[in-house]
Amino acid sequence: MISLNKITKVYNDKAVVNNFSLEVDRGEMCVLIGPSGCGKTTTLRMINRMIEPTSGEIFIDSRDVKKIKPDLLRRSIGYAIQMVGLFPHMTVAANIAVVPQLLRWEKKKIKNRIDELLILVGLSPAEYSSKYPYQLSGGEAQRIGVARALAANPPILLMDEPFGAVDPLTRTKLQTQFLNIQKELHKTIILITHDLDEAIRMADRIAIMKDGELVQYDTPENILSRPYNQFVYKFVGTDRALKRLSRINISKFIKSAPSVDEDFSMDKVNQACEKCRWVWVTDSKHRLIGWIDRKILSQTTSIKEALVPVSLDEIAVTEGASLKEVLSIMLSSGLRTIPVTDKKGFLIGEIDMSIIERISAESINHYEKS
Amino acid sequence: MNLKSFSPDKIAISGCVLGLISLFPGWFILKPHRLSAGMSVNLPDSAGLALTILVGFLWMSCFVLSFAGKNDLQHAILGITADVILIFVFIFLSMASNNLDVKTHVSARVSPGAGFWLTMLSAYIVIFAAEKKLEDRLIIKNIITWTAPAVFLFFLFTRNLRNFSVVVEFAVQRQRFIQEFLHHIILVAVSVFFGSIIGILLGILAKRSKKARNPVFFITDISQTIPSLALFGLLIAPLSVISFKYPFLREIGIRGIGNAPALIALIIYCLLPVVRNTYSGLAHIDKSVIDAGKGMGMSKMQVFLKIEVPLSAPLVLEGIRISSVQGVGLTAVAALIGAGGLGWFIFQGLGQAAPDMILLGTIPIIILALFTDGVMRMIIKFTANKVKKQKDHNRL
Repeated sequence: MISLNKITKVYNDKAVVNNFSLEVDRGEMCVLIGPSGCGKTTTLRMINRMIEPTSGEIFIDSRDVKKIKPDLLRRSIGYAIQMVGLFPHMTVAANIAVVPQLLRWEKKKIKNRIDELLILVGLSPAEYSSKYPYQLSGGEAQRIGVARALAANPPILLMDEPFGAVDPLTRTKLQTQFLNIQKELHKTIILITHDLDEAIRMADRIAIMKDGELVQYDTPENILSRPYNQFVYKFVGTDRALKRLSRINISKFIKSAPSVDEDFSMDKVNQACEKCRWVWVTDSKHRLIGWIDRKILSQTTSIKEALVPVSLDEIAVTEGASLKEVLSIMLSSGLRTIPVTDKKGFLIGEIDMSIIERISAESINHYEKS
Repeated sequence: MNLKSFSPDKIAISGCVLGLISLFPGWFILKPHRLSAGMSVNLPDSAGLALTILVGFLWMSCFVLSFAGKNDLQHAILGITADVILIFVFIFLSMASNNLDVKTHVSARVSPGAGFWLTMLSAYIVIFAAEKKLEDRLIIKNIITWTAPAVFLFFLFTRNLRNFSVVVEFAVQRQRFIQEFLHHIILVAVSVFFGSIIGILLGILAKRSKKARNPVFFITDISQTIPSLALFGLLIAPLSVISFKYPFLREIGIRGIGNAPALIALIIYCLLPVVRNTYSGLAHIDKSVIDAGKGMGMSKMQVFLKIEVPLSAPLVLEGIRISSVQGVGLTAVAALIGAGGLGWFIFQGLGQAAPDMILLGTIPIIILALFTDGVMRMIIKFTANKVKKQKDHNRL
């Protein structure tokens, strides 16, 4: 657990961080966000004593960091920065090995750890171990940066815009991958970003900073639905409803979907269509291939003729999707109800726009009440 | 031919034109002894018309090759052709040397004349131009650089140049030459060694402390602007005073003239390139790299040894290379204040109006400078390999 207690940092008579307190629970990801110059990087760097606070205390697992030698403290905390800072004269393997070597691990243990970490961040050890940083793309370099921060298996990670210097597409990939890693490793993480979408996507809790002070510290859901003041309200922006939808997983809202097999007889199909306007059609392995509209059914003689084939990418969502993705597909396909499949295309259920309307209404009410 | 690839090399072309012109003035001066005026001989008279035309033809081919495009092979052929011309120059020299009738005069000699020197100059202009185009083709560049000196040494050791004026001079002063040659090397080595250590320390100081930066650069910059002759002279007075005050200094060889002022002056000249390059070597390291090192728990010493030293090494070595090459030349002046070295022959030759003796000092200095430069470049290339592309990827 990390605990910052009334931290203040003064530069040239100006408090860059002012009376800042924050607690991050074990295994939790806290995202620090705020306008540039709000003191988030200074705050982060005080935790591993790259910067010493003017006043206040910082505890890690109830130990005062001032009482730990800076070098030893830093070896026990993973550190990843936006510029990555890979050592250009060392191979990828040597870069990852830095902290384990400082901790005097055995050679064999280091070697195994390097392979393990490269696999964890999705790079092949055989291919990447002996590469030099200049041979890596921006995304690869940032992954190595994360692997290097994780090298000695520190319980805590400090990350300053770790996915900052890459294109949006790569960034989303890295975020997803990092979330998966975090699910496995349960590190205590403080991550800085200036990208609110990233914060909402990644954080267990978001700390919004302004002028060196903590404005609101809460779960992404609450930041979006109950902004503490005008600053947070504006910071979150007018698309807060959409952002909130991106935090909500569809799993709770999936309804069972009426479906028929493509081999069914017309009678069976007619039967299935009695209760609803359409049915989803699946193949023999229960994979979604299209739908049949009841109106067309009377004019046709076989399923094949009535079937409207679909492309899964265009109208279906997968189980792990958020309501934001659902809305996006509904708007682009013009359907109010869309199917939910698993990754292989098996039909799981369907989801209706009324859910989104209900949830959006809730969040609007929240703010108007407060 | 594609117009874009048609890029005449102006430097090489001017070298070729100069080379053709250089066939006409007198090539060799035959003298009965060191001090006589001697008799000038043209190339056709000395080497024969056929060989003269052959060299002219070689210059023409160089001229044509200078118009070549961006093809490395053509640049290599250009450089090698210039080498062949140089080899012919040495063949002519050995022919002239062998033809000389030494029976009449024991110290009779062949001195090179204007045509000889101009041809050497032109050939090296072409070689320089060709090597510049060859960029990092280190092997072929080294072949082009060292072929001609190797052939020269071959003729020298097979006694084909025994009547070449410089060799005659050498034969007369063999003992002295070996002594001064070694002395020259020791002066350079000692001054570059201490100059580099002091320079690197000052460079680190300039990087670490903002207060020290300006004074350090001020002093090293100023010292570089003092003419070498003046600096050697300026040191005589204070050192004499000090050595008279503290006699034990005289006993260990520190006096107003001799090695002590020479070494001090050479060390001072050595500083600027080393200080500057150490400073920029350290300053150009990406801040995020240092930050990452610290953030991962490296101590200050570990950051220095594992990050700063290897990343700044190529630039620091480059500074030492410049200092060493410059030092080889500057040490020649040291002879003026009694420190010896190859400069001794130059100043003796100047005093006695004996150009052959000047050459006896100058030629080894040039070879030594080229050799030092080549060796240092190889070392730098070797250490810089991994860091070479760092700059392109600073943003990572």
